Amino acid sequence: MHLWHPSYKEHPKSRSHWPMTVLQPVSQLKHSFKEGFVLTTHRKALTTGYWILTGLLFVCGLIMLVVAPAQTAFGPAQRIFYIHLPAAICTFLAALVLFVASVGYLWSRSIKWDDLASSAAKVTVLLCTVVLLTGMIWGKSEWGLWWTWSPRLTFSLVLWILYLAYLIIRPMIQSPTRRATICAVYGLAAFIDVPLVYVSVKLMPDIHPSSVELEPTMQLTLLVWFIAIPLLTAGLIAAGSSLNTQQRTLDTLARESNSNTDLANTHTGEPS
Amino acid sequence: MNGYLLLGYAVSLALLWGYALLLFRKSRVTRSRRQQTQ
Repeated sequence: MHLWHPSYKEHPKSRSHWPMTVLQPVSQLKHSFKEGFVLTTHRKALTTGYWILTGLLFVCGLIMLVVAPAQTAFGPAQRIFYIHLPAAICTFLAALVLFVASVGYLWSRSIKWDDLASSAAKVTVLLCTVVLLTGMIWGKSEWGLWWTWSPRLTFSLVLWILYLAYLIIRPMIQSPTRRATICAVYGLAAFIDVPLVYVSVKLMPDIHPSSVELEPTMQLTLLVWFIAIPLLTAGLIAAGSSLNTQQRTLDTLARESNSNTDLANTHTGEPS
Repeated sequence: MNGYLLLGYAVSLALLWGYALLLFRKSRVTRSRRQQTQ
């Protein structure tokens, strides 16, 4: 059996037999995908493309919200809902990612799930902040008050506090395994508030509007925002999770390097 | 355009893209740390 790795410059059987010469690019491609070679080589280009696309969608969304007609049933600040609504949905999605990552950690005890959960919690707090702020600004423009203790607003504030508390608790626990376990259990418990926010308008009388009539241009504008904000959310969660993993690996390497230096100094009698 | 509308979008975009830039900067610092370690 001939072993080949993508880091080799050429396939060992290349140009030796004609069938292999013909099949080489395909077989190389298969090997490359298998080993993640293509992904690592093109990762930078893919990441850059992803962020450029997300940025362009935001620019498109901003242009379209100026062009889109105003909803007559609401005041002039009604257009704020193009960012408010997708951000609210993405808050739930980010909280769902945190929930799934918490289950993943408790199930597998792999610390990578904790990296994902930590990143998702930050994005949940960020998006919930956007939702609360845009809601407050819209409320001030529409109802003349920054805040009212309606069920949906109250549950949304509770959601923000719960996930903010998650982020405050994390650095307080020193042991990584203990931190991951406690935060995973907390992440599962905190998710209970998400369905409460969602159904609060349906079940309880609320000042918050539950549905809005939209014209086709408005629907298209909302669609652009509904693509842009989930893309940004996914990008932020993925980038944060990857960063957490890299930082953890580097910290482990630094600790190992320090302990090795200490050990070497103990043998040579030098002070560390 | 309405002042509240501008305020809403300015705050939201600053928060979202500010966090994206923060992550980008942190990843650059981590990359240079990794290169130093290697």
